[in-house]
Amino acid sequence: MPRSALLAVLLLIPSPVVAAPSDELLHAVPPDASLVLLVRDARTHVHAILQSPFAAWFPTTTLGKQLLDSQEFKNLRDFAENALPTLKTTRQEVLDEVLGDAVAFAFTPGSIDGKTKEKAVILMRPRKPEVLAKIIASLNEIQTKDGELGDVIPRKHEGVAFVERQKAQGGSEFYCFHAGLFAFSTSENEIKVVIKRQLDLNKDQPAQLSSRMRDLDVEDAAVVLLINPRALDAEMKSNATTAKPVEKRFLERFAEVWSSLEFAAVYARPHSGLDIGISLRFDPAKLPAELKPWLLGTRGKVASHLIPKDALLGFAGHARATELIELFSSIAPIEEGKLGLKGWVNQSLGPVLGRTNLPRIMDSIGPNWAVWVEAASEESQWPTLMMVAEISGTAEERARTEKIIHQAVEFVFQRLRVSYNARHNDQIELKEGTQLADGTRIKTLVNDEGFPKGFQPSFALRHGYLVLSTSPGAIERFRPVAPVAIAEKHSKLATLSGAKTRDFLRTHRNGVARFLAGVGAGDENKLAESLDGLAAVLELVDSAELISRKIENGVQFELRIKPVKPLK
Amino acid sequence: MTSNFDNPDELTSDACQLAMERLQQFLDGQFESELSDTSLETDSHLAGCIACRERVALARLVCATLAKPSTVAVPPELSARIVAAVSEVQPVPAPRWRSASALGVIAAIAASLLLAGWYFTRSPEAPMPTPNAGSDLAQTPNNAVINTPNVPEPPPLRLGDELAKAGSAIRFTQDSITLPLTGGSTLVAKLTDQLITPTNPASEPEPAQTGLSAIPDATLSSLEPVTNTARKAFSRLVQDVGFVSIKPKS
Repeated sequence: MPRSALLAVLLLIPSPVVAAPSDELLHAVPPDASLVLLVRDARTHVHAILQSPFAAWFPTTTLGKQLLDSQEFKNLRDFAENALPTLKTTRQEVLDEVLGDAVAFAFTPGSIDGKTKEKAVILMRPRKPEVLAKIIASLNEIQTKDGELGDVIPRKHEGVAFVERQKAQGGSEFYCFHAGLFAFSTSENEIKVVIKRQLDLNKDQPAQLSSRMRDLDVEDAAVVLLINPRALDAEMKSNATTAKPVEKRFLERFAEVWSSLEFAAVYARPHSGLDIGISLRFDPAKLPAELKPWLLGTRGKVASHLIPKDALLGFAGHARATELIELFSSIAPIEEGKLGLKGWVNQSLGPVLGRTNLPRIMDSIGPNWAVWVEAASEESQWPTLMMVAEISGTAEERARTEKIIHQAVEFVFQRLRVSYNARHNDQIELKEGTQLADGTRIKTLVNDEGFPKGFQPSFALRHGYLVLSTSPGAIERFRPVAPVAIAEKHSKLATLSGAKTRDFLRTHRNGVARFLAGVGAGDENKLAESLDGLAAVLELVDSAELISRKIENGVQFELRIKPVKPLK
Repeated sequence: MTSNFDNPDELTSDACQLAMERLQQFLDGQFESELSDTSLETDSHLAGCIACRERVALARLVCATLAKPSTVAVPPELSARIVAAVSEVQPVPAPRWRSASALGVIAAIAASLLLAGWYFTRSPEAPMPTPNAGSDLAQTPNNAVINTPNVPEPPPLRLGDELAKAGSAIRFTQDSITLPLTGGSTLVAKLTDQLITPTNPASEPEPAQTGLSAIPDATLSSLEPVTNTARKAFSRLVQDVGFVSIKPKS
């Protein structure tokens, strides 16, 4: 056969699928463990981060100095400097050849009744097993010489070699190298189970935990903590049974949702920023019907477009007031002899809005709403708080609803004014602003003497929204933006501007601390220092977003942090 | 008369609640002097409650940290106590805020691994904080005994211990910032109180908080099986990784 033909034949033969190191490792991890911590591809991530602008900059930040100068980190470095040369290895070698591919730790606690004991095993998939073998051999030799180890005994299980490290003070540890994997445990049985699992392994089948990670959409995360809900069922039930009366209802409800949770994971995904999230996958048949829209992501798009881009902090949602009341009523704890949320709404808002109007009004509020904080204006020491809620319905219904809501909010403002004035020498006035171009009149509580500078609680109905704010100017500026046309696969629930919030804390540190101390939040100096601490964390963060994303039969909540300098 | 001692769990819960309230008052700045002397340590409840003693120790730590914004100085003996504490199974139900911080344990593991990896693999020529070997050794719990004539040789350096302490440093840095912020609900209540005082309290409907305000605590309670397991897993990981230990003379 001509060489070119042979080459063509060889190219047509499908090449064997090479499993990723973490997949190989996950074959050996007990699939029924309560918690499995997996760190994958640490070599690539650490090297990329090391070369990043963030790594060069972090030690110069306040938080970086605090952490890296701390005694604990100095000790850790001292340990590495002392121990690694003794073990005839280097930091680079440990990262690149031993820990760099995949490391896992599987843990199952002992049962509540004490019938089963705690189980734990550490597994590694070193790139060069011989390097790890050399390090372990050095460790055994040194510890034997130092008298820490009594003996190192070679053992076998089903023909596979493993090692028992007998400690001089009693007890043993066990490890094995098999099929390119290293396993360590203080339990002989755990090592034997790992060996058995490796011997019975069908490499054509994906590891159960790999499939689970794929279903949870976390298979590309650098760090994953897999949670097996079934391993904690008994504890959840016991927790609900022994709960305090006030919490019992909530815990029983939670246990019900927990039983419908198939699996879950907490994960971290570094890139130029850092995504940290939780991924939940449910059995829809077991999930309580009223919670399905919230947990299976079948709800509408969250109104994050309402939050201005320059907001310091913002939250948005897509739910009618009725739905929120139903949701919280179904889960909120109820203290004995006290009203639940629905009862409170009926009793407090019923007389204000009219009991017959109440259900209709509550159903008209929403579904789009948002709350955010804007930077302080020049004349104010406080940032501006804005709350907006859409009033929905036909034009006629909306006009009627808006009128009732306007009267109700004005009543509440009047009541606040009277309550305050009865107790204070300085007095609040309820003022009506000049009419805006669209006919809106903003009503404002004014107290130049008693309120902080620039603090003027106001409300209005504008552009189909009920708008409440601590500044009438902000209501005047309010223009609801049309939703972004791009079909995003996620909903933005909250946003934070690290830079703007930090700037505000820097500029208004003393004023904010004084005000907080004035309302009894604590000592002014300590509060100022707390604000410094918060500013130190925000020094690292350019912005952050909390998003929710639908996955099959589940949902992910993810905090997306954009650092000031790229992480990779 | 029924004594509280008839039901140890109830005693733990109620007494811990009282201790927590006192601690909160301290955090609000009302009883600073009490924590600064030893009066709390001689409290009969604290004498028998490990969890509450830890709370007081942590509160002191946080306040000490907040008093020095430029550095986060974790007392070395506290680190050793924390390592010891996380290594033992807690016999009493986990207090809420420790449950909450157990989530921080997960973050601390990831962060300490990342920082450790970074710290170890930085190039030698990169500027590193140079430890003063003598003073550092004298300050560290493991090495403090080097200067103690009664102890013949230093204990081994354990990787697990050092990682746990580094993780604790991250957790306490985080706590020093988040702990004062956890008083947010108190702050909102106080702000609201400035504006609203019922003209006739008897006519007021029961506050909505009867249900809603209990949700954060109830959520933490419901997550306790997960957070407790995470804490146990962290303790076990620290313990198991401790097999990599080298005596300094080696």
